[in-house]
Amino acid sequence: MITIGIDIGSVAAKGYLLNREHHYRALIPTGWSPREAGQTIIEQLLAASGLDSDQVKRIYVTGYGRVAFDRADKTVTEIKCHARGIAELFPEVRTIIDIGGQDSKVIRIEERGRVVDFAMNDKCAAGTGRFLQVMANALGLDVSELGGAEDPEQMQTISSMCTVFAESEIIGSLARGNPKGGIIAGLHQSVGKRVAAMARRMGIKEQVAFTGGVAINPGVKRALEEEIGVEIMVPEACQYTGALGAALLALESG
Amino acid sequence: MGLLLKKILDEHNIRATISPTPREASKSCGISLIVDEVDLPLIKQIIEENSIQILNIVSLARKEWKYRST
Amino acid sequence: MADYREMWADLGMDLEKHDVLCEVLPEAFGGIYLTQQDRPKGMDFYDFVVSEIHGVRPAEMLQHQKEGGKVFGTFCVYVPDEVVFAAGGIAAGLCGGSQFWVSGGEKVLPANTCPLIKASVGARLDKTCPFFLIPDMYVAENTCDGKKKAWEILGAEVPMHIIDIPQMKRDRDIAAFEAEIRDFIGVVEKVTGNKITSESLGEAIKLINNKRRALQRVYNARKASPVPISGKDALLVTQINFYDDPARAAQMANNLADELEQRINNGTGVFPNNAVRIMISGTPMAIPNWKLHHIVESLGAAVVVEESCTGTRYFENLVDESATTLDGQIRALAERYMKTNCACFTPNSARIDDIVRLAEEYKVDGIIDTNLQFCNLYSTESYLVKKALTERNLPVMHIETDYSEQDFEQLRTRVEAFLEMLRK
Repeated sequence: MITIGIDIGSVAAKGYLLNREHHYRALIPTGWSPREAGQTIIEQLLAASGLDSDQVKRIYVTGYGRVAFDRADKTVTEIKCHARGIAELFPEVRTIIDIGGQDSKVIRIEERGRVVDFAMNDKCAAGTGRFLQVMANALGLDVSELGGAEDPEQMQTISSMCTVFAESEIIGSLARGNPKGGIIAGLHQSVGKRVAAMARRMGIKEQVAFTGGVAINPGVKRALEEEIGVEIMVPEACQYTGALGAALLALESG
Repeated sequence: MGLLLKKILDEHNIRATISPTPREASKSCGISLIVDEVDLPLIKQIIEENSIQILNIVSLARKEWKYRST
Repeated sequence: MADYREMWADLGMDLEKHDVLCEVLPEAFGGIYLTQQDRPKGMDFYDFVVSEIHGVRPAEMLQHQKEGGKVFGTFCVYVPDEVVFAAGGIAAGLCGGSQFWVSGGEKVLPANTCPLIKASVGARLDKTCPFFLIPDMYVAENTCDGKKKAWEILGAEVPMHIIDIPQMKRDRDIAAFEAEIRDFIGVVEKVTGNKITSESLGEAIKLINNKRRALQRVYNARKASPVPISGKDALLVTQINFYDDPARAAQMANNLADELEQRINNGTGVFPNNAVRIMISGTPMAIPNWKLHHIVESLGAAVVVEESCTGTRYFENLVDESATTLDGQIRALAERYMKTNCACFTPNSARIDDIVRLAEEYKVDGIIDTNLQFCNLYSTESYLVKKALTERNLPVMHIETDYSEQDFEQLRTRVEAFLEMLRK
């Protein structure tokens, strides 16, 4: 059976198509219409796989844009989807840290991705991809460049909790001649601290995985490992775990 | 009065929902009964027969409620 | 409610501001309540009350005052209504439940205050609720820090009597509360001009106990599967009981309970048999706060019991009716009210016992432990609640929220994820 999982996030829409051993992925900016983004993802997946839409048996959708998307057979929360996706990629993981465009989550799972507890920060930009986006802009960089540009040896700790004030703080810091690499390391530390605090409150059980769009950033991974004190696994498909989970759940729904 | 009318409509098996008066009907609050257009002729008859005082009968454009928070 | 405009104007209400609230109520109530299917006929009365929410009961209260009677507004389930009714007065719960009133409260209170307190103060200061303008006296209490200090500010506007609620439940605290009730009796007698006798207090105790019994019957019906009434409807019943005439309230609740028992016999439910059964525990939900119930039930799960002041804490435990002397009755009142397990007490492990007991009685699949934003007492207690429930394998999630619409989607995602966990 052929299934599609779509994860429509605040920043990017991701898709995963499962056709037995053939996997296809797609990723586009969500833009202003989650509905259209989801539609485009389906089209891209079909084009990549060479399949027709009526060959796809089931479509599950997740993510913040799932409510707006009307072509799915079922909506599932990102919590359940990330849990299923990670369990597929790293069966030994018991704690998932997911940092996305506008929220961060910690999910505790047992075997096969069964969710036993979760915590979310979706009220504050700090500790989310948005924080890094704002800071990258202020530093004149693309957010994808942050990871490679950090210099932890010259760490410049950020004191502001709030994204808006932190932005002013780093602009001031840069103007005073502090090393950019150190400032970036400080940003990663800021994100790491906030998310690690949420994880500790939940209770961390190894193995720990880090997923979501921000997981591409090795600097944040480093900061998290430092705060939590254990090694963290990052899947190569870290942006797609939600979509993968959705596609798997669609496949397994009998 | 609204409750009395509702009671009588119940006895006749006519569907009616008690509701705060929707904005389209009147700016002032108070009780309204939301009924199906198809039942109107019979309802009007019942109102007359029982001398029930009503303020107005208003047609609502939409078929369903949309959620608003308080 | 065109007739009521004059009544509202006479009360000194800000009619323009009030109109704004009047405008959203039909949509809010319609979208939340009237979209439900198969509601018990007994809910007609409560729908009617909401339709005339700022009309009928306020008019009754004003009539009572015209005839020389006194009206008391209250803010906590620890206030013994029996004392007020024994003196021929009317007691009504005033806690504010709408975002509409919060900004009024924020003019004088810090933003990081519980929305219930802000709304209660705002409703009075903005003059947008008749219930807040009618009482001859407010009866307030020092259950939490927020309330304790807010009353100092509100006390400049309206005559207030503060009841000192103990913080512990030792024998000497119950005795202290007894003394508070005696003081309260003195105050009520002075305000109403009526003496409270063991006869009148005995009658009042029966009156309020009857209301409690009626509500217990309604709740008992929710133990059945399929559940015959939605949590939203049950919540509305409880909320209206806080300020309606107790005799009528009991009668209407008993009518409803009769119908629900009939439904159970027929196997009629408002949720499918396999719907997830949820308990909501925590801080009260003053009318018209229906937010969390609406989120849970729109996702297809049934709220089958509330462990809160707008729930079991309101009516569980009767006042002992066997006391015949005033002293005995005051003692009975103190003992009954001190059984209420609010987080303002320490320790409060009895609340956890209640939650566990109710989870079993109502065959609950999961518990949502919720508190209003900035409520330090309940949010701190949630740690122990979670610990105890997790030890007993009872799934629990914690939600802290306010009255606004802002976090609706976030809450929806969390509740949905919790339900997904339970449905496996």
